[in-house]
Amino acid sequence: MINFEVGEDLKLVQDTIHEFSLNEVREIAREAEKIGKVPESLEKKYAELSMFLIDYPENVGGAGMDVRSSVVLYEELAWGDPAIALSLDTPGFGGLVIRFFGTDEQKVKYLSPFSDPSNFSYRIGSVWNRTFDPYDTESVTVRYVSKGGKFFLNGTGYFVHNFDNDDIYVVLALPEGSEDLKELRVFIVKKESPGITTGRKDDKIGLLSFRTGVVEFKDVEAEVLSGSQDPVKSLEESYIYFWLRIASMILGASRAALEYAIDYAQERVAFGQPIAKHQGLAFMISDMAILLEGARDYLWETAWSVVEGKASIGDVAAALAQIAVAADKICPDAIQVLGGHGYIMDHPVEKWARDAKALSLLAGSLIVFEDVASNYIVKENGGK
Amino acid sequence: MFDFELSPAMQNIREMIHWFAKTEIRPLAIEADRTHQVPREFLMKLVKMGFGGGSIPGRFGGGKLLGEPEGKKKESEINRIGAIAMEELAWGDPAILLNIPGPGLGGPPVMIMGTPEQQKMAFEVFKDTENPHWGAYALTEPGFGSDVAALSTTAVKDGDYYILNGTKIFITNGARADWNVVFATIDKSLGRAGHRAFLVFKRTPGFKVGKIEQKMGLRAAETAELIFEDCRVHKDFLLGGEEYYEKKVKGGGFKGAMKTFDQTRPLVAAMAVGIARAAYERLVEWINENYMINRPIPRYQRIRELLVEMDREIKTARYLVWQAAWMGDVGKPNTKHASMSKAYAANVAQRVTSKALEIMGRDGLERDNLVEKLYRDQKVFDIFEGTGQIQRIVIYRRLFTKLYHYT
Ligand SMILES: Cc1cc2nc3c(=O)[nH]c(=O)nc-3n(C[C@H](O)[C@H](O)[C@H](O)COP(=O)(O)OP(=O)(O)OC[C@H]3O[C@@H](n4cnc5c(N)ncnc54)[C@H](O)[C@@H]3O)c2cc1C
Repeated sequence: MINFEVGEDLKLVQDTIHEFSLNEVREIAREAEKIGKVPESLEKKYAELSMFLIDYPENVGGAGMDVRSSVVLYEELAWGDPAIALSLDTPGFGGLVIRFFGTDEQKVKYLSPFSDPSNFSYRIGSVWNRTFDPYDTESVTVRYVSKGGKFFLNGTGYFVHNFDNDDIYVVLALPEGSEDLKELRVFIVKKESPGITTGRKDDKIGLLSFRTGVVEFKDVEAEVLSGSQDPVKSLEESYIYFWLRIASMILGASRAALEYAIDYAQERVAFGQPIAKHQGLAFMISDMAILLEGARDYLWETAWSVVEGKASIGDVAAALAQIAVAADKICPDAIQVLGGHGYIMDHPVEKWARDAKALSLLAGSLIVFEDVASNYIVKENGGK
Repeated sequence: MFDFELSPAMQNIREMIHWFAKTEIRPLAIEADRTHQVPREFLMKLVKMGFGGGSIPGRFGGGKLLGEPEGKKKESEINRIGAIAMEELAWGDPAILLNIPGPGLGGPPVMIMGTPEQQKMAFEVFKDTENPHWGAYALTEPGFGSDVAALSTTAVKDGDYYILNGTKIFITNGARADWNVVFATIDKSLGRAGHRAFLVFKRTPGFKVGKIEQKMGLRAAETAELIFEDCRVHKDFLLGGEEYYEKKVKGGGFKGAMKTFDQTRPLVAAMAVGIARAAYERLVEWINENYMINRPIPRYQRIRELLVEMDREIKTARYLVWQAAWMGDVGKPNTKHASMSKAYAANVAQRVTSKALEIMGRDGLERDNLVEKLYRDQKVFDIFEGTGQIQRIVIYRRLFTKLYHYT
């Protein structure tokens, strides 16, 4: 029955991560941004919480909870810091792709290391198209050929997480010359395979401690993931789980910004009273709060629908769009509440705003979310 | 763990009311808007179906309220069921919805503040199944709407009676109501502490109906002026009795009056969601009928984007309503969330109806296309039950907990 209680199990996750975010993540967020990576000490501590595979099935080493758990987890972790949250989701998109494309054996092989905290530096990088639009085959940058029963990859991967420091790469590729998504295949490439070179590290608007860069593949031999009968469906499933994570992180970043603005508005004095007493500003903050609350309700409903098997990638894209738009208002307005101080790095608000924006762009951008959602709306209404 | 499954009762109500809205309400909508009234046969149909009686609590002779908790263990679903029902009814037609016989917005204050005898008196009128009956809520005056502290209708004690003087305006169903919950002050200098709520029945001496307003929208709904000239109301009709307003009674007085908003605002928000959804669905129909011919592709693209935006905003509004209603059902303080749902849903109804009209272009002008009516109807949802600005005040007072100390 309609219910907004987070529930005992998830409350435990929420409390644990909240404490971790408050005491560990926030402490180190600016430093991590400066050095451009998450310090190993933090990775180690996070690994000890055993959250990497929270919504993965138990047979691959996961905690076996449903996707609602990751929605709660990543909001809380990104409330600590969005860039660190994204980095600490080390399975990331690649892990999800393995989950939906791999055979049971492959899943166990490549995912179960995450269940052992001593593997805290086990890393997966993923390579897909340039735009991250799930249906954009034209911007696919890595192509495969098969020779004598073996697969070889050629091309370039962009925005690859931990590009020069990965244990394996998960590469989504099309055959040379094909634009047909049905021919999509997913490959595992070991980092020591011959033919791999790593290029420059990306410099970005935000998410600076989420290290990404370019990886080149030249006639690299690869293992194909062969557990999926329907690559389009498996890709959509991977996106559903990944976009829910991104949405949760954008939500967490926005919440951090809103809370900071609420506190600040009650302390800062202008024209003889706390700026919170100036109604123009107070109204702005009320609107931010409304958007945030509505965004979470929508996200939760969508996550629940995914659990019930009722949500399509279009539903998830629509929710992500709502949250990205909300963040686009909440985060810049939070800077506005702080005035000039909001623009200065002494306060975290400008960082949350950059990170939230980067999360949306990295996951495809509002244009893509709305496009995917609109395809479904048109289909639902009998159009083409 | 959080979930969004409708309970069987919610599911039933949604289907039943949707069917009713579609087959009985919607066909009357445009004509009712033109004639500024709802046919009496329709109102009687509602009464016979027990619609008016449906909101009479069981102990006053009505049936069991749907969603009323059974036994100790079951949680109440009343607020959620109410929200779901209101969305469907408003989808049918918001003006006709306001015509549905019953206590209306007068119900919650009677339930929250009234003594058992007063509740019995108020609800007994709905037992009559030969005529439609209404209750109403009369707070607004010519001199104020939002600023309740400016209340100036006076109540002067005279023996066992209170003498009411003043004018109330914009009262939904106020003229035809059997009784109005009328707010007055015993002493303006006391501010909110001087406010009193009275149950004033129609034929009370000194009470008369003034003008009936002509409006932008909700034209089939009655909006009345009520005039009190030395109107004598016995103290038995002071809601809650005199002790209720002494500081001793927790949650009494003005706070009692405000509490009713926690229940009613999500319902009003649900209506706004219903209007937005009606406009959205009509628009989709219209697009399917009219967009088969060739037009520049970028225009299709723009329309698709607008559809996504409308769809996701309507859903967000609905879930805000459900959250506030759920909090009400499980007994969590929901004042802030009630205001959030109302503020957001009203804005969504505005945006959705307005964009739907723009997409329909000249077709949007036409009254037969329904959407122009919904556009006129929705505007007031950001005004009554507290304007959008007042909702935002309610919200920030609860966000700025270091500056304001109440929940
Ligand atoms: C169709 C209809 C039905 C109605 N039904 C009922 C009913 O059944 N019972 C009843 O009692 N009333 C009813 N009303 C009245 C309605 O509740 C009031 O109109 C509403 O509360 C606004 O009051 P007002 O019109 O006096 O506007 P005002 O209070 O004068 O407000 C004017 C503007 O100033 C803004 N404002 C006011 N105070 C502040 C502030 N502190 N900060 C910032 N902005 C502020 C308002 O938001 C608004 O934009 C109805 C009205 C309509 C139109």
